[in-house]
Amino acid sequence: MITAESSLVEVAFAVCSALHRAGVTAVLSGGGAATFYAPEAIQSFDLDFILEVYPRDGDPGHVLVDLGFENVGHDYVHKLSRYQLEFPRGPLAVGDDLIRSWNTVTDGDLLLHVISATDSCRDRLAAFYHFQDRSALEQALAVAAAVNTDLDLEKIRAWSKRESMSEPFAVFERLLG
Amino acid sequence: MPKLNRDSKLFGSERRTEILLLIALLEETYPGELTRLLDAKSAAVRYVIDGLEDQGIIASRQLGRTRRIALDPRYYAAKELRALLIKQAEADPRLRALAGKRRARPRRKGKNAE
Repeated sequence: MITAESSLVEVAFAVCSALHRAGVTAVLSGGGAATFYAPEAIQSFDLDFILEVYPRDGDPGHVLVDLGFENVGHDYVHKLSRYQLEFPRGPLAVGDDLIRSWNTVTDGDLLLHVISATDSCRDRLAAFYHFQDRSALEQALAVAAAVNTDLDLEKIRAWSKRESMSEPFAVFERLLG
Repeated sequence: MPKLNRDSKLFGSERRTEILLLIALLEETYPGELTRLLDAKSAAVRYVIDGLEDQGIIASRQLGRTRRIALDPRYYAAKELRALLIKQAEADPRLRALAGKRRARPRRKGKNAE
């Protein structure tokens, strides 16, 4: 049950599990994924889920209503929790790269699909690269610091090069130390 | 008999298509500018922009009181979409003329508007 005290991660688990039971594979991305990896450093109130598997028939949105969410415009807002859900259009990608695999974390009978820490880093860096968003750079750094050796820095470097963003990547790498 | 019209509906409707093409030509714009250039209703332009943003094709950001909009460079097929839009737009003299109405270079303080 989602309450006013539920953390972002708890809400994410509840939503992803309920959607999973309804036949929907929803992958946490954006600031929510960054918060999942670096909760001490990042506090997002948006949970961006990309729908990777979605049944053609029926509207699985009812499971969100059952969890206490209300559909407001493009978002789902909760009666008690300050965390709100967004479902950006897919595909699950960072720039030109499709994301074909993600992490599935379990907690008892709950599960959460979330992009990898490396992809979360790339996702945050995309905002820094294209919009000069320094807060996104700080989030990328926080994710990188939180997962440390699990980060595939070479993958990020190669992707940055393909995106013609080697210069801003150098800023990220320098600050990473 | 279909209406005699060369305007493209490639992206769903004539209005939606011309707005998308114009955004590509202008690189960055704002709803008021599109409304003025297209001599369209403000609500209609905003409706199309909201729809394009919802699809993740364009991104907007608030700069002061102005909502700046551009093709979203983070979109999966951003480069390919931009190339298609620019090619389509450059083949449309009317849209090119509309985009040409915008003065982008700096104007010295105190000079009269052109």
